[in-house]
Amino acid sequence: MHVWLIVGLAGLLSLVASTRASAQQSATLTLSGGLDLRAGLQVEPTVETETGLSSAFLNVRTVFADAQGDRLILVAQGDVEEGIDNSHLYQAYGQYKGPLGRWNLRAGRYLVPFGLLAYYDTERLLLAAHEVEALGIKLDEGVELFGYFGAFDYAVSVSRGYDDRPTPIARVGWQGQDVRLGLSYLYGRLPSYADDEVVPLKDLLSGARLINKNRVAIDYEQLFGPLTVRAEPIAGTDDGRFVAGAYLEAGYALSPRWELAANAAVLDSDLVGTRWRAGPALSFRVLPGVFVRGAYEHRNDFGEATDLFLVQVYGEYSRTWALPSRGKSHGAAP
Amino acid sequence: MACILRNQATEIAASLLVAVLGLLLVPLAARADVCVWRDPERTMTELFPTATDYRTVTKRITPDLARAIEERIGIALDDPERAEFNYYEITGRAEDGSQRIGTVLALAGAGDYGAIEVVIGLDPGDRIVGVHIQRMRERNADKIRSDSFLGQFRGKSKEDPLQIGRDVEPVAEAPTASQTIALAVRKMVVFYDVLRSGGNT
Repeated sequence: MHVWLIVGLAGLLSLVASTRASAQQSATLTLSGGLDLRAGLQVEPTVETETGLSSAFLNVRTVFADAQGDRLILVAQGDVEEGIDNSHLYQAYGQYKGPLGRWNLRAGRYLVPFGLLAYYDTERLLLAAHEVEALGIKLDEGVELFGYFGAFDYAVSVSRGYDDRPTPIARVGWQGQDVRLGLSYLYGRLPSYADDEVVPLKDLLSGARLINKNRVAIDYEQLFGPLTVRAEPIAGTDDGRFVAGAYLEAGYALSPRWELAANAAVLDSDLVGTRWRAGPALSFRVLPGVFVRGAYEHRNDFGEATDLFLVQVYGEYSRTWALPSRGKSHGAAP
Repeated sequence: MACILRNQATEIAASLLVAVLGLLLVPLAARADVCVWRDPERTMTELFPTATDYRTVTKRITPDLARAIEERIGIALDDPERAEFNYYEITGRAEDGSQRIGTVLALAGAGDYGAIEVVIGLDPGDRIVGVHIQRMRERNADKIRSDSFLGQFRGKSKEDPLQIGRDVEPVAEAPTASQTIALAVRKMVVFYDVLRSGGNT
């Protein structure tokens, strides 16, 4: 698998070198950061509580442009959870953007382009989509080719998975006015079940085992005025045994600041068992970039039921700077 | 059981109160509520069918520039708008042989049901070639997106009022959205003019 990664990185570096040779002209740097403070109260089967800092993140994004347009994008995001000792890399990749973004080559650690995750990451929301349970993977190191053609878009990714066997993922999508549809495929040797997108291998091996997974999914997103609906039916095999499931989410904007939402996810595997969860959430935008959210979730993991109340305070900021440019500028920019 | 829940609820409430107060102390200008250009390539080809690429330009907004912009639009800028502003130079093959065929700008405003993300295209003479609503959750979205409303902005420039009731007729069923979109368009035209000239307009 490392061969794929090395080839991708070598390709990316050669494209970067050609960009620099063709007179790089400008660059921008964007720093984003946020605090995600959560308190959880589990009331069934036992009363437990968690308080304090849940996580913080810092994202650095640099865009280098040549004479024609934005060409090279470098992204690194670090997350810290429950103290500095529990920090990890969320995304870190280099991306070479072809003309007009019709094709892009990305290498590094990125969100896998499967289903809704290709354009909708719920990492900082209380209502989480189901990719972690349904796939056992959310972020991975690899090489991705993606882009668009008219109303259609595509993505092909080969990543290293959990035991360095190639994990191929592909998605084709279509986008209309306020509606998106996509068809995805994944094959990989992945954990039989997972609860977090970053599962250290030692923890993984103590709680779950690696199995061969095939997955096909249809992702759907549509806006009906204040109502947003997302769905992702999924099917496949776990070590050759049938698995099927679905994710459904609806959000309704009550006002510019208040939003009511609910989601439900179910996954039934002949090999591993059945998991499902459902619950509502309410979100209030206190100030620009600052939200207070509350949610209730009932979940059933392989027959064990839990009820959980969650409250979240989430704040984010973002600033962009123009970096000193090199070479002659063109166009209207002073 | 009730006592445990009461103690834990107090602990949670105290933690969240501290968190909210902490976030409120973050300078307003550092908070983000900006319009992200989600599908730049698709919008770009709608506004500029002959586009071949685009380049991001970031401009720092100094207090003097912010004042110049506010004087022109007649209202105070929102806090997130005071830090910096991005616009996108569109490259392609223009009739006169030049490479820059226009500029795209994006800005969000508040509708009845959340943010309305507005994208406009300006030709090299700074006239509006089109207005695109990137994302919104308003009722009557079809009427808001109709050419009878958005088409009113086409061909206009910084010399025009770009105001509801003066040179733009609102969508009767969506007065707030109409106002928000017209203001966003006016803001972007003024932002571009002021930032490009360094405030000497």
